[in-house]
Amino acid sequence: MTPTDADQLEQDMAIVDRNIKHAGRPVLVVWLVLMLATLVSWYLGDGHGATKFAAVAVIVTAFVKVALVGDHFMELRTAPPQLRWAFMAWCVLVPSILCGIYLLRS
Amino acid sequence: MTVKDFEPSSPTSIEHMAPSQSYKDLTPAQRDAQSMNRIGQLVCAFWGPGMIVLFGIGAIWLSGYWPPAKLPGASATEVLEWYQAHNTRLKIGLVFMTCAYAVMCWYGVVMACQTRRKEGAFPVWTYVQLTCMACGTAQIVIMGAAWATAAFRAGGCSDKNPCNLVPGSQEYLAYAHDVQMFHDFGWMILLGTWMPFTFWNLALAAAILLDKTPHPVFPRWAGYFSILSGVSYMLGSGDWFFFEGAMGWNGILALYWVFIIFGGWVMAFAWLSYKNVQKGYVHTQDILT
Amino acid sequence: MTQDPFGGMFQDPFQGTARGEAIRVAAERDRKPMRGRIPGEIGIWIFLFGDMIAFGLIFITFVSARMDDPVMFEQSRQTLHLTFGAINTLLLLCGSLFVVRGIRAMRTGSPNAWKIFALCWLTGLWFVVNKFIEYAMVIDDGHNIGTNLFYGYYFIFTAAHLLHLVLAMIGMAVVVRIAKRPVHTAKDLRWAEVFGAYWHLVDLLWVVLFPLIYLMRV
Repeated sequence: MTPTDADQLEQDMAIVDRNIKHAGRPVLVVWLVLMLATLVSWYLGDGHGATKFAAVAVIVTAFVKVALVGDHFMELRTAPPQLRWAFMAWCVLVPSILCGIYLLRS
Repeated sequence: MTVKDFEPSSPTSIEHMAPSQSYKDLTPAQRDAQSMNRIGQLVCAFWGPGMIVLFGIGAIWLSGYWPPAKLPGASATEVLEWYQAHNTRLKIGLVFMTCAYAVMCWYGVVMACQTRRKEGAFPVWTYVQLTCMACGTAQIVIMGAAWATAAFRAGGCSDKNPCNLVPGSQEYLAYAHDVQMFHDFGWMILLGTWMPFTFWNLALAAAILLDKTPHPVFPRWAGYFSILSGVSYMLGSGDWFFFEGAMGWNGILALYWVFIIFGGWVMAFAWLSYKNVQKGYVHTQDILT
Repeated sequence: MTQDPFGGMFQDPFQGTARGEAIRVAAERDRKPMRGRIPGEIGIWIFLFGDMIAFGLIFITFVSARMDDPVMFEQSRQTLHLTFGAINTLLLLCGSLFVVRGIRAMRTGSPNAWKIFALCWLTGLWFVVNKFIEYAMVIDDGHNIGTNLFYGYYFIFTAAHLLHLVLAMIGMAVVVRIAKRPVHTAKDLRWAEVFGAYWHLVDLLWVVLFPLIYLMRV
């Protein structure tokens, strides 16, 4: 094993250890937040709340949830930054386009 | 968490075989022995991009089928007039286009040859690739014939066969309807019959990803890319259900995404096959026993 | 040893020469490890991003079509059964939680890992059953894929997602089998992470699809 392969291995093992700890309480908290956000969106979409606000809120909430899933469930926090930024770029770009279409054409 | 968890699986016997020798390291006798197979694979790999070029000449430039000039919602009369407007040019374009799709077989064979090297006596994934590729080629060539039929009948009025059709009359509408039906038929085949292509892609992905040796035939990311493209072709089904929108045959999802991914897949694997041949992986078998 | 992710595509012109050897030694000496760890392997992320682009186009298509004919879309949306959609979202989120906990159990050597993955598979099964009931109810109400553009998109996009879910369930079944083995190698963990990441993709696509189709009003 070359020296750098050993470094990579050591770093990977440290990251996995961090993720094991993170998969305990922190992930449970994130999961609860996601479940609650779903219920709130359901409430807003079921006819409560001003239409325009509800629609935009529902889209934005959805993608915030996606970002949380990516960061905490898919272990992107400990992934190479390029991977994480590519994912987050999608999480920002798509709702911007959707809200743009919705607001500009309504 | 111990280091043991991260150790790669133990080396197999093939690690000690020399899996390849670059072309420049071979003796002239060895070069001769390899040459027919090598030339064959290089020619086949070339027809990947070659197919795209032929398609560009035929479908994009000459006939105007891509992007679709006539949308699913167009009337029969519009379709008939479009066919009549540039009839000969369209037919020549169709010849190029059908060539492009037939030559897809050559391209697919080089990948099958490469995966053949990694399979034993009964190369299952290679067989599936070949049969699906043959099926896909057959159906897509028929698509060329379907459009040619529409063009043939649309341009079929001549001195010997005066049609004497008055625009708007019953006969004219029936005539236009026949032409439109074959026009539709071509589109139904092109996008809606994605199944052989998807299974072809998935078989190739299986040959790459299920490989337990340290040197899979193509890099592992290519296997995942093949799964992505196979699954993406399924969006072509919208073509059978929708007359408008992104899932119609002119739509972003059913047409453009499918074609972009297919083109990307063709170029990626043509390139990877070419590099394999250059590295010397021409016909040495490389299997776990 | 560590597999070159590009399969040796980029050939070194100095390979085999003395200068090449010197370059190689110097590069090895100065190379730093890649910051961060890719979950699973890079290939699955290529698949995930590709699918995200495809579904991004689907989302944009749907909202754009909604703005083309807001009245018809709203009328049709009212006939959907929101409860099913919401419960399905909650189910998939639970499934994702189980995936994370299951992978943790595998990493710490717990013998219960396969049970957690099996629970995840069950949430998927419940989703599928819900979906079929929901489709049956919508069709019973008289709405079909060809009724109008809303229903066309509703059926075909949720069906596309359902297909992804079924594939994810197959993946989870494979992970359950792997998790049942007494000893896990690095490759086993890699497969668990790969199929886990795919499950999370299916979850996050539904998390967006549900509000867009069921909740968005104009």
